Amino acid sequence: MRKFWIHTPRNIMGAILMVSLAITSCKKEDDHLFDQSADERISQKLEEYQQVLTGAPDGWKAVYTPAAGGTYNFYFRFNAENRVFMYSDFDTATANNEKESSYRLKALQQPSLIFDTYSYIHLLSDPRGSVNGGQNGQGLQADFEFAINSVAGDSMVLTGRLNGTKLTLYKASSRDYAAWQNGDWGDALSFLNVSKILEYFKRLVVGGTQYEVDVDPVSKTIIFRWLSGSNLQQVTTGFSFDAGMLVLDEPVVNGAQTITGFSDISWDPNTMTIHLKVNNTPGTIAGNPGPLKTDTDAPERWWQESAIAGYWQSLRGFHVNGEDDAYGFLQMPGAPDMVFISQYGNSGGIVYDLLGFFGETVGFGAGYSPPTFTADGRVIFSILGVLGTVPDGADPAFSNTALTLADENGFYLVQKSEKIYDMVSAADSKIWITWGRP
Amino acid sequence: MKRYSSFISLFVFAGVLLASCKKEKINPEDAENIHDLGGDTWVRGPIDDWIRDSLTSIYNIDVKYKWNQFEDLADITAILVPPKEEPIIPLLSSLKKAWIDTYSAEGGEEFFKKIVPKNMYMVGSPAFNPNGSVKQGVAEGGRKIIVLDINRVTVKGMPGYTAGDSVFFKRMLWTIQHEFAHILHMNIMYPQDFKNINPSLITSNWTDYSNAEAVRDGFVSNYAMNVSDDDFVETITYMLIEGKAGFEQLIASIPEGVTDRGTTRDQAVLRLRTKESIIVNYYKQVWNIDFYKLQTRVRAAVTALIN
Repeated sequence: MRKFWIHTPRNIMGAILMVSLAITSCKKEDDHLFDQSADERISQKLEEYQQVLTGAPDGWKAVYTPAAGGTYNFYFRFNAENRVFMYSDFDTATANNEKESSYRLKALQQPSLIFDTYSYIHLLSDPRGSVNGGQNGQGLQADFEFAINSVAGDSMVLTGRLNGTKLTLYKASSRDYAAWQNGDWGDALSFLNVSKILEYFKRLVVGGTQYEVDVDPVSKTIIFRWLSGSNLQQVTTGFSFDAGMLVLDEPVVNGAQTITGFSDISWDPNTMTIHLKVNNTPGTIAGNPGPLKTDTDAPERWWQESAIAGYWQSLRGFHVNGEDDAYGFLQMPGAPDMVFISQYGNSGGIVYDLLGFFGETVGFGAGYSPPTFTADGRVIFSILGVLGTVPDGADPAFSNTALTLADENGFYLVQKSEKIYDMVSAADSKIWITWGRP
Repeated sequence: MKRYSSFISLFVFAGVLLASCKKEKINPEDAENIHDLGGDTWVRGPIDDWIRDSLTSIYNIDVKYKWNQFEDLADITAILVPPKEEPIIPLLSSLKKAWIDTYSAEGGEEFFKKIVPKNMYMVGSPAFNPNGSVKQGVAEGGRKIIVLDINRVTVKGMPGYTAGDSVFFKRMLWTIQHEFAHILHMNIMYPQDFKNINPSLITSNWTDYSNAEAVRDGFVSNYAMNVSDDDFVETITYMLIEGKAGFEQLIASIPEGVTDRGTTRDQAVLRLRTKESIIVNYYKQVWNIDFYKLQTRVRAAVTALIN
């Protein structure tokens, strides 16, 4: 029985195989399923796609999301000489200047569109983190080689070959193209100048109503804070750009005033002010020395919460007058982490806080007497002494950082999310540091 | 046994059947219509023309700069992006002056054509290694040089060039000279004596040492400690690009004292001098090139291109 089971299927398989071979191998040429060879058909398909791409007189537009997130607008115009002309809302330069580069259509496993010399779309793929805010070696996990899935009506659907991102090209109108050429997108992007405002606190004033805005240009989010009676309201929303506009993902509703976005945006570098309109009402965003409403409990809350993870960590040190890590903490020898630990130790009966710098080969810091929490919501530190051996080359980054924290006017604390606080100098809101915990 | 033989006869039979029914012949002229077999073309532009006229037709060097997914990138698996178009001609033209022209002048054009890798592939970004270091060039078996990170390069004469940018061009030239020197010894090996200079200091953990520490141990750079081949080509590259005066300055900079790995000042100097003399002899005996003349030419070209 066993033998029977093993052999019979094979014999049947063999018979089927022989018959099918006999049939297919004698097929005549004119019996082809297609009347052209595979290569001819691929060539024809590429030719057809080329016609579609170059046949849009006003080019193509796309909203593109890399695998790492974010929303980016692109505009493409293809010509028959393998050249593509591009705009993007990546930054003000890419929004204002049309860039020429190379493309080609090629049969990979599927007909594919390849942007084969560097242009705006490659800014998102660039593995150099400094280009796009991604990780070194990773970038934003975007694509620049796309398989063409389908063409239907006024759109072309493509899929990135490396990261699988979706790109849908829609035929642009002459108005779409003009919006880039006229600088409407550049105007919208001028909103990003908000990062040039030196003060930590940025005040949006529209029709007499005041909002505090906190903009993160990398993740494209804005925190809005406003007063409802004496209560501080806070919402966080994402945003994207459109021709001449900034559009909020979620409208901000403050009583009778609803903000869905900003239009007519411009930047005045002399007064460091953004001018804009909300529902046709003119408004401005400018720096402000203090918060809209001080969270008076925040300093003590922050200080107590040091115990949760055991420390607060700062990744970039003090931001001063528009400069990240102004004191050069990241250049310290031994590449230490910067932490704040409340009630770190006891020295002669004084339970002190620590601003510590810990690395594999280094460990040092400054001790502070128990802080003073003022009624108006500030925390004030005073230096008790230096702990450990400060290595050569760690100064002046170390002493500048330690002394700034001991400023006699103290600091406001702004809670941005559960595990992140910003600490802002009460004397000069152009100085701040971000503390986070895992 | 019987089972196997019946299967063999089946395949033989089928094979005969297939062959006998074949009617079409392959026409070689069809090959150019097959994509990826000579069928990958684009409309030529000024960069393509410049490469053809300045490099391909004279030296038979094919420089590719458009992204090709199927390009053989040796051991590189990192995420890369294609090069910007703007720096390509200025960069290649500067490299020609400080590399091709200098070797051709001292070694003869025939020597250069014979040795030069026939393919160059340009990449916009560096290749980030998992340990955080970056790779800026790879020579593949003497046939091809992969030039990375060209988007950082601004060459003298380009808009926006500042004197500080000269480091990027110098680094690029360094990569090319380094890889070309590898190709020289891949053709004819340098003497074993060179490997005997400091065998115990060769380490794959070269990133643990700074350039200054490497010099105190008798190397021109930390990367020179990687393997003897890199020691050989890094020393050549340093001497060519920094010139005789630069090399003398490097030697003079070595302080007194003993390094962590037990090298005295005199030992470090002796090592560098021995490397220099083996290299000079190697160039003379193997390639009939006066190294010091070549050095003078390269240094003069570098000076003209960066100041």
